[in-house]
Amino acid sequence: MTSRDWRYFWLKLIVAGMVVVFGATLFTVQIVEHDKHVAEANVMRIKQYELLAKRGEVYFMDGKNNVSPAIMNERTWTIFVDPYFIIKNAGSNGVLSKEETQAKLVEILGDAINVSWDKVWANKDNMYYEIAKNVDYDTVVKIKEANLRGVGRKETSRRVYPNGTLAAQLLGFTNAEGVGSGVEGAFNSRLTGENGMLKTVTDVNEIPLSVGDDNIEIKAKDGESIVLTIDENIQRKVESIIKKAVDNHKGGIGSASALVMEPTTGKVWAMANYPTYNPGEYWTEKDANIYVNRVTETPYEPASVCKPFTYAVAINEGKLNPDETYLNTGSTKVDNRVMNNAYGTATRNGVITFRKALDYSLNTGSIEVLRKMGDGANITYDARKTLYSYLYDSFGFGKKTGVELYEANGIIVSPDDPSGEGNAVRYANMTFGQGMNLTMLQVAAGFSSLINGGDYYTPTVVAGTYENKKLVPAEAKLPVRKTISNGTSVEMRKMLQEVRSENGGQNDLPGYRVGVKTGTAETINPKTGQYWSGKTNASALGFGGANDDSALPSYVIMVRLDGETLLWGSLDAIPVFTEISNFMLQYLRIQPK
Amino acid sequence: MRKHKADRIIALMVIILMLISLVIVYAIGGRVAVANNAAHGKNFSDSYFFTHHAVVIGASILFMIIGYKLPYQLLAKIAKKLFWLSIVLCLMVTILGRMGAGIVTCDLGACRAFYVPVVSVGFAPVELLKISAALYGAYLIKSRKETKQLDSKEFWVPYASIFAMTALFVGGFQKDLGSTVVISMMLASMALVGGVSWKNLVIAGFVLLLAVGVLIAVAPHRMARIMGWEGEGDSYHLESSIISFGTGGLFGLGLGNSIQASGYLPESLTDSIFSIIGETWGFIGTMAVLIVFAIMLTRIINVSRQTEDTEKSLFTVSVFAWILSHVIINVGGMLGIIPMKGITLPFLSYGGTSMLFAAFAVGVVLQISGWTKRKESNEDSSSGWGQRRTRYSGSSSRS
Repeated sequence: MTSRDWRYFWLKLIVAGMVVVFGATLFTVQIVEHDKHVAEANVMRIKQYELLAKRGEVYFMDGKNNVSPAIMNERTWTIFVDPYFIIKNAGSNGVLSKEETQAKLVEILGDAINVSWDKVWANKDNMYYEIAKNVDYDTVVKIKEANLRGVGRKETSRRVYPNGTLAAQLLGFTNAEGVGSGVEGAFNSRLTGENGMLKTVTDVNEIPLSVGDDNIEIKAKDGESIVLTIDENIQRKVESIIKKAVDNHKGGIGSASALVMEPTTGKVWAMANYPTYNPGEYWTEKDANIYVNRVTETPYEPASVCKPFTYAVAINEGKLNPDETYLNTGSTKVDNRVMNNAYGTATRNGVITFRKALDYSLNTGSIEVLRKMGDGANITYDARKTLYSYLYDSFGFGKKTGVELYEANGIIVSPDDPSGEGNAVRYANMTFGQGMNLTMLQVAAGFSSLINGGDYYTPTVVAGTYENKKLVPAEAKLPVRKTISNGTSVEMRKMLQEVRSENGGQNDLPGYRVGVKTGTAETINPKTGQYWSGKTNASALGFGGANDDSALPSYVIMVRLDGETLLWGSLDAIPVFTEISNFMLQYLRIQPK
Repeated sequence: MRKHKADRIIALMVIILMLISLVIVYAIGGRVAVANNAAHGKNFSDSYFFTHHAVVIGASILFMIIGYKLPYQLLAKIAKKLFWLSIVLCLMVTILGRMGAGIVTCDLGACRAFYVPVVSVGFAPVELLKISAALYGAYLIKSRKETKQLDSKEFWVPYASIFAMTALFVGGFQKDLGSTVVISMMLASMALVGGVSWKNLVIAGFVLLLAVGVLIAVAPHRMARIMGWEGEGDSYHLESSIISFGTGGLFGLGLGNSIQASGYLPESLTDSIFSIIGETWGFIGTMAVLIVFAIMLTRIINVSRQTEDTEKSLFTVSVFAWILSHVIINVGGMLGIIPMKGITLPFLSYGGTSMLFAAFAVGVVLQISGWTKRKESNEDSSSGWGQRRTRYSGSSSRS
């Protein structure tokens, strides 16, 4: 070959060399190391996302068939900045400087910004700093239109309470950790739902791509939307009535609670507490006690509203004819302890029927009834055992009712209690509702069976679920047990209607029959463990709507006023009861007789 | 010497590459647009890249036809002026870029192209420099050879000046080491084939190595940066490129299934298009493309070998070196064999000037291929140059 040929040969050799070297490298990368690179690629671009389940909403009943919103979700946005990006790219490609970005954000968001800007820019390696939360739609649109680079937004959700403070303690709230109170807390697992999962090949901006066979999508299961048995109209009315009572009493009533339920189903129609708060802004409250639903969570000594239970037990056991008489001397001695009637009942001293003793709420009468359950003269172990068995096992006192809400156990002492506390003195007290700690719901649920023919229904606040804009009713609940006979129940209704005639019956709407029992309880000073001398609680417990002997009552109402001074069941609780009762008679369209 | 048919295989290879390019850009253009819009706040439509590319390919074919039709003598006549014009344009792009003029696009501090906003056409003067260096270099060797001054300073001074100016204006000011290497290879290939003595070739290579050595010694950090051994984004770019090739496997993911194009692989339409081909059509696809290039390059060098006119033969070999060095630098970089340099893959990469001028240069080679002496004996060829030159001197108007 000539010199020129050699020179061309070298050039051709480069071409051949290129094909060989590149070919060998490509063979290694594309075929030998194929699996390795596929694995590397998957690490880089297969992303796994959590698909967030929507939290269920909560509704009230609005009349018999309609629902109205109680807790809703609202779309909101969290605005964040990327200090690293802004500081690094300021001035190029339309990226504003941190000062300009900050000024624009302040202009749009104003007070919604809840951070110190010095902190935002302090760490220039930080790529995510939240500057405002719960930003509404209109504002986020402005942020979007401003097209600020290095500023991001992500959709979040906020719970809103369209009725403000209505049923605040019942509805409750959850905090950022998912711990909460009321329906929000107790129903948390049903409301939460299950998050789904999306595993997909994404582009470099983490937007899912349709290519690839390994994409997995498990849809999020949204939380259930719960419809409460609470009727918005009744709740609203009851709240306004107890608020008025507290306001009118000028500091004498520390707090007021009321419960309205349907005695023939156990459904709670209203559960109200005052003073109250706005769960949408729960963090503004200083005293956490205001969150507590006293109807189910704060047991107390309900006092004389419990006397009908003592009577019912004795009648049901065949140990008492209410028309029998006993000698009321104003006081009676139990185990060396003298027990008195309430102040101002001295005019009732003398021989009196038990029926009348209930009308005037004489403690001696109730104690005498308990004696009759034993040997007639003493509060025997058997008498105590009988009363305990009814109160605890049948009426469900001193234990959780099983309602879907948070509730307290309360305390009721058994005669077999090893401490010996279940003695005659305590049981004498228990006949008129002292010496035991009960929640309003326990008492009202037991009372429902007392006047409905003896059927105990587990109280409930769930009417059903809300699916596809329709109420899907929960399965109707059957009574769980028999507490007393129907005959006893009829007798009790009659007796309580008589009590009503002595206790505000004149204010009932004409043509209706209402039964009630009041209670005035001494309360214990938590500091000393002794009864206060100047503070009492006032309660009223009753029913309405049973217009003839065979008809069952339509509603049960229980009112509890915690006194800062001396309150009286008949003076303070009865007007509240009456107003609610008269509203219920009309609201339920019960025909007068 | 009679005109015969041009080498249609070369033209066919170019057309094949252009079609592959068009298909790839059609398949991934939309995805690249989406990724670009999301990452840089741009507003490209799905069809933007494809439409733009189709226009450029149409224009490139037109340039190839012009190169084929335009008599070489005419080009040779203006070679020197064209060279100085390119140098001036290369300087201007740097100066205007430093001044921040809107008609120059700069990327990461390197200003390499003019930009006409209304018609969105870019023009990189270095591509004009490539073709004018080829024309001027070929003329220099031919004329010094005639006067037997090929191994004297009459040749070396101007010839080395072409390299020196390229190194300064392109390698230095534009920070375009890739194109500097390409032009160096073009000049080297012409010197090699043009008959410069081995001794002087070795000396030239040695001086070049020494110069690089001195630069490294004086400013090691800067040299390292220029050579691309410390580039910040390069390791990510290489990693993504290797993943593209690697996930492609033997047959590839299929057309339109590229995932790397959705923003993972930088420059997936331009410098990294070979990686996308590897992902789309696998080892089969990449080898096919390499073989198309090998056929084209072999045919081009055969044209040079069989062309008796020294100037045309040298021009042809420089086009060979031009395309070959582009392929080596681009593919070698994408495979991690050599440092990655921002350089296009001829007839495949999306982009204007590079494809237009490469197509024009191949057009000129096609023109030259119509005048080759075929099946001649090896013995004549080298000795025959001198005599046969005179036959053309009449038709050449250069004095």
